[in-house]
Amino acid sequence: MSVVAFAVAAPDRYIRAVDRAPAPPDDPVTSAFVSGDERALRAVYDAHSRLVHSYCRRVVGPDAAADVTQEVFLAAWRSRERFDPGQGTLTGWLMGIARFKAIDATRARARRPEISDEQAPEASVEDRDPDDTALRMLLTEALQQLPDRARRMVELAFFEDLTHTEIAERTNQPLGTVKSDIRRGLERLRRNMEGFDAAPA
Amino acid sequence: MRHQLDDLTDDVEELREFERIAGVLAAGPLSATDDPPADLWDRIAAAVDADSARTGAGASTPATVTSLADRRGTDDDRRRTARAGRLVLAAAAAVLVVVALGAVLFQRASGGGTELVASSDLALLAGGGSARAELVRSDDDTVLRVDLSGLTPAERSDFFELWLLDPANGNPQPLAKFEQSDGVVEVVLPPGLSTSEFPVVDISEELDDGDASHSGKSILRGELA
Repeated sequence: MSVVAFAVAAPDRYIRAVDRAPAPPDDPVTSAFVSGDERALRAVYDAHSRLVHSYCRRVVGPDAAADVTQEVFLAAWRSRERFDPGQGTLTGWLMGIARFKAIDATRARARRPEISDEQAPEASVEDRDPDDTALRMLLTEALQQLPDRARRMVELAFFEDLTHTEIAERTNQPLGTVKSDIRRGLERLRRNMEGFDAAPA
Repeated sequence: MRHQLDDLTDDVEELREFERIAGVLAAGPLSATDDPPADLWDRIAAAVDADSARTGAGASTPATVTSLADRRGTDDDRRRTARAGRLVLAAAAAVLVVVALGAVLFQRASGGGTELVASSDLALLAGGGSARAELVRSDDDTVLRVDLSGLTPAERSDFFELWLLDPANGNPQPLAKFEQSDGVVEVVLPPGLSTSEFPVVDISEELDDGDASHSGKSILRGELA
């Protein structure tokens, strides 16, 4: 269902329909989410809850991870009209929100006095830098969304630190293909970074 | 690594972004491995539902539906309202849409809690287009939902306006102003506005001339039944 209306209650509150950059046509879930369809929220949750929860677990620990994950999706839902598909991916945007929520939770815990050893989750918190962890998990996820060949080339270039020529030899592809695949891959990853940077605090 | 990225782009800003990506990737992959608890979605859905209910009740939110008494304010009041600022109004409109969607969509999706009270296929009086109006009642509120198709004014106009009329003497009650010709307009009826007293749905074309009253130029009209 596509709802395009702005309804206003008072007679003088005349509001022009707000122009919004259109969502990519291949992502109807994102546009339904932005327009307020709760079924789209469920789809967004199903697609991203593992990533968001895994991140929260790393940063705030297993005890608080579910609560913070809930806060992330609620904040995203409440801010959905501020999401601009023209400025990055929804995955990046969600992880950007998750970063802020995880930082909030970490600070709140730091302010809380008198946590006994049994209650303190610090022992199971694996990562301490919320930004770095979020970006690493976001790009790892985004890599999985790349076409197989491009993903392989990006991995060879950045995880294994091979030169383009070495990748061309390893994959038996022309050098031009290697460069264009890596470039397109980086552009897709960049869209995720942009979504991350655009997330509301 | 720097040399390889230089090979991919001549754009300085893009190069900087690529370098940032390369820096993140250099730390190695970090996979998502922990599914959330099975009940987490239910908790989120309940919180979203509570949001909708709270906003619908309007107890403490700035975007409450304006009561009829408030809406019959003086011209000064109206001018003040008009000056209130686009951002605030946009926020109010957004929340109001959320009210409508929360009340209608969620309960529609979950298959219960709403009742179609009355409907009307509006008749064309002037201009062009068609619309169907539905009055949907939930536990919390009553929503007038109008599905528009190809709405066209007969003359030059600035926007459309949705009204409820008293069939005996008109007495138009303004509900919402909008620009789009197609799509759905949903309005939570203000408390005190009864569709038994004002059962006629009317869509007019209006000029942005400061006159808040009905222009007298109706495009579509129909009685809820």
